[in-house]
Amino acid sequence: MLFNSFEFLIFFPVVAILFYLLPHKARWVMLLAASCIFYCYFIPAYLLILIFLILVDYFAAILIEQSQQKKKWLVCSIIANIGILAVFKYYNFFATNINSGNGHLPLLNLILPIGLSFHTFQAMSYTIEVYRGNYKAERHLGIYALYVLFYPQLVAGPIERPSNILPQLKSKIKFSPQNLLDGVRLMLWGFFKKLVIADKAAIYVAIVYNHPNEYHFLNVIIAILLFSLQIYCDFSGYTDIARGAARTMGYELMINFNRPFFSKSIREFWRRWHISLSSWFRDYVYIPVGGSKGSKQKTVLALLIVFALSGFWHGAGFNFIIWGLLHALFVIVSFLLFSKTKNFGFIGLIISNLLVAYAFVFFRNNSVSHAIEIILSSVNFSPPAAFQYGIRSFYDEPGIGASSMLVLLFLIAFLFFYEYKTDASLTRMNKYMLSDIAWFVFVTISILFFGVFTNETFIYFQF
Amino acid sequence: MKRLSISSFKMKKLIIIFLSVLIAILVAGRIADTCYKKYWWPFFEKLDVVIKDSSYYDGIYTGDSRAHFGINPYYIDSLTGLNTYNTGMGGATINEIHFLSQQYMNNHRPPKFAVISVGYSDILSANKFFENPCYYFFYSSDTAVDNSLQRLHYHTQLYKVLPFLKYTAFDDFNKFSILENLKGKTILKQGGTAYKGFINNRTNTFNIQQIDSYTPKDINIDSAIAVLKQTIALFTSHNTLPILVYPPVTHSNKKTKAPVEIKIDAAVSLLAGEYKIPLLHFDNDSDFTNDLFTDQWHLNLKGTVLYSKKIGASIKNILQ
Repeated sequence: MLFNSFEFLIFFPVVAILFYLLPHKARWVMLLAASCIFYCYFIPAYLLILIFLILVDYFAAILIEQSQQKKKWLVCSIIANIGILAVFKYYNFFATNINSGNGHLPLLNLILPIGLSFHTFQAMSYTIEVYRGNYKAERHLGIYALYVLFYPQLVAGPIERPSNILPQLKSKIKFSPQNLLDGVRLMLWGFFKKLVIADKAAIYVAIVYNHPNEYHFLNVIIAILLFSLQIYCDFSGYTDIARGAARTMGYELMINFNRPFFSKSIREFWRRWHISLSSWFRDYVYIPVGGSKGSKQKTVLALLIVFALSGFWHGAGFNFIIWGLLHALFVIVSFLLFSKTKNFGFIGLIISNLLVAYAFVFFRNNSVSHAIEIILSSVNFSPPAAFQYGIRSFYDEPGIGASSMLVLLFLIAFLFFYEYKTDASLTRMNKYMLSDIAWFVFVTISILFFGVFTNETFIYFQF
Repeated sequence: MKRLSISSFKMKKLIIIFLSVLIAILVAGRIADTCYKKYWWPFFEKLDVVIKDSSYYDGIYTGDSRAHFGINPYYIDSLTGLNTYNTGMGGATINEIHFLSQQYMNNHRPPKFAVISVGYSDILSANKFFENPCYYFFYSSDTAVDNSLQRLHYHTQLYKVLPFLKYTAFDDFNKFSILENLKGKTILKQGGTAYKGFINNRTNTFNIQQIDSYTPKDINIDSAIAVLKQTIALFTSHNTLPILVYPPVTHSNKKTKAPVEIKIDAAVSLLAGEYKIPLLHFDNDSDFTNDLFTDQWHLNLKGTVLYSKKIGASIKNILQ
């Protein structure tokens, strides 16, 4: 089920009301059933994959805790998770590349289960934490299943850690108007980002990205920057809705984005962007391979591994690997040349945002050559052939007038203004009730009037 | 245990915010509705006549934009002494044309004649119902309109409770017309004409270089032709004379017809023969020179005068 669907408009309040009406003991059953229904709106059969992984990891964790051969059971759990990922997400990529040589591997006709990379990583974090002795294996199968299936963060994160969410799932929660208000505020902000900014920006981006050569370089630069904003609003919008939906029921999901576009360096950007994945790689890859305490060479190698893996986590394609490696390059250069706390000020903010935006060009395009074409078009200062006959800009496209563009720019300015004024939690209340009321009214009306309600899927669902 | 009381500050705040948002949505809905209706007033005037009104007209014109923006009842009425109305709708598919005809016939005494403007695009877009459903949301109190919109998965019940929600189904073009009206503009531009369902703002002349070389795909037209047949049958069953009309096209557009267009022509001729009804061809009338068009398919204001007069003359002949 998509958050931005009519079904969710019914589903969400029904689940929230049932949650508070039911006694504590029955809540997990209802939430688990609701989460299954939520997931089944995509491809119901794929719920079986999740059930398989839940059973494997549930028993693996108990065996890790009880058995002497802890490592063996951890490896079993990791193989099961990575194995599923490998089959559904990576097999065809490898097979295609092997076949392009002399190989003759058959290709699988499988649709990638939605959010697979998210729940496998969340499941792995559980068994690893149990293995490390940081968390006791959960004995309640239903609660553990809910840890993996909890509907708000099921398909696109945040990738939770057992120590944060499992105790909450077991705790008795009372209704609180503050939680409801914060939750609804977060959800509205998420919808604003997704429907008003991301899905609208997507229209402009698609127009220019499809024919970059036909556009003036300034149009291409705007499209590149807009895609960066689109992906932020799409993904962090999902996270905000997820956090908000959980918060209305009293659950606190981890902060996944801390206003990354205010980063003054690329390293700061990575402390603010997709925090749940970055910290996952930090805790389970970067530190174990010696990135934090080793020599400079070891750190560089660890960074290279982490960013390449991060790129590959996003998708089985060279474009994602290039995206990851570009960030590795940026971070390594920054690591080698500057101290961690070096503040580059406003110049740093501009440069890091430009680097992030240009790297995202690879993220959007499966074809590396097309991505390069877009980047080259953005620095082709001589007007393209079409330009000779008049500027082909956004404004020329049917249905997208100058007014629409101006409204979008105004709403983007509002987005930055609000995120600048608030804190990482995005739930800081305004000092005066009147300004709070104004915020709720403005955001709600903007969503309903300027939002794109064509059930556009979230970009990160594909991962 | 501390009980949650409605008097607690946070609870009060929650309720105040909720009510404020609700009131704001209701007010915004009212303002948007007013502005939208004001901007598109000739369209609403037409739909009021078709769906709500029951006045008698001697004849009606139905079809897509080429009827809506092409046939001015003023010239026909002057020539024939009849009282006619243009029920054509820009962008209408054959389904919408049938729907509007049905609505008209349900609410009015049957007219003497009904001109059905034949357009290839109406037939070829039969997979859609309403090309632009936005106007119809304002008529969802009508059961037929409501049912049609619900079949298209619009949540009309929700829109009835909170009218502002219907704007979630609007495209930018329609949404921004509300903002345009706030600036005092309407769809009727300076120099344009609106009269009994007809509207045309265009005084410019067609530029031959703008010609669209698009060739329609050869799709199955059986279901679309069946709807056209139902429309003809609807009129004949009420003793209304249907008159099939091919509107004028630019000379430069008279290229070799696509196979699907030839099929449509054959099917329309067959229907005219089957029901023994007039079939008028203005598409090969050499009087309609390029300077009478605003684009490849549509007449400018000057062109609509000639077209309306010609239709009026034909109707006069047919009815005599």
